[in-house]
Amino acid sequence: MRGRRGPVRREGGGRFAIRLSDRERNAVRTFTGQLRQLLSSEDPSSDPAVARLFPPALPDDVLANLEFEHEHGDELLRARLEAIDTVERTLDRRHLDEAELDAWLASLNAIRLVVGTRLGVTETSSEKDFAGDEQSAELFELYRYMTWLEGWVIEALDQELASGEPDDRGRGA
Amino acid sequence: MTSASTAPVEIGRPETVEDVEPDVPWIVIVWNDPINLMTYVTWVFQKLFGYPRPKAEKLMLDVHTKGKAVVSNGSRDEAERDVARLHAHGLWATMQRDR
Repeated sequence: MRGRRGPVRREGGGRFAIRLSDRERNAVRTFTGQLRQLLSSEDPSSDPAVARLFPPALPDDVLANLEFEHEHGDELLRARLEAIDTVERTLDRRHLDEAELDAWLASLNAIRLVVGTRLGVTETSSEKDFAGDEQSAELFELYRYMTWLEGWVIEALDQELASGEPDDRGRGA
Repeated sequence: MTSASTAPVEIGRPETVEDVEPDVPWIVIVWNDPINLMTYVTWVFQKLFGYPRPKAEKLMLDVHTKGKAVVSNGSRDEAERDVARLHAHGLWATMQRDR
């Protein structure tokens, strides 16, 4: 079974084993630090890539949308920062509980949304698309790493996948 | 879908739809995006709404192939709560009156 060899594996009793190299953990640490910085800036949504984390709930009604942001924006930001706190606190651990792994998933996904939006990735993006620019190429490689890692986190959290249901679904919704 | 489409702004409407049709339910729509993983979207639908796997997967595939799917409906407050939870999970969700 695929799940036995991945970097994230469900164990008994709601525990998850994490097997990552120091280099991988540091890559995650770098990104969570950057995400925290972006979210802590004065007006996070002025950056289009960060704004991806705060989509308009009512795009056709500006006033209602502002009301929604007023009502839910702080809570959304607080939850994101709290998830980053949890990741940073547990990043060197070999075992996580489900709530901690949930925070990893939320943060990995947020990182991919910001990086992917910044790079302008599409469902068919490949490394060739970013080969012309060294910085973008490197960022895309890290994006793909985060995608790979997130895939394993989902598989571990997903009880039905973990129980051995065939997994032939593609990546990228 | 990579960015939000912003519709023309209507300023100074004398009367909003909400004022005259308080009982029309709201729907919550999730839009396709090139970043969220298919397995992730399915997992979110199961986790947030308690949908069984087949329903969650069908909704995910609708998002993927048709560009969007209605994932829940209810009162305005319920729709708002669902959109906020979907946003917290990084999905591109909007709400509108069901008409």
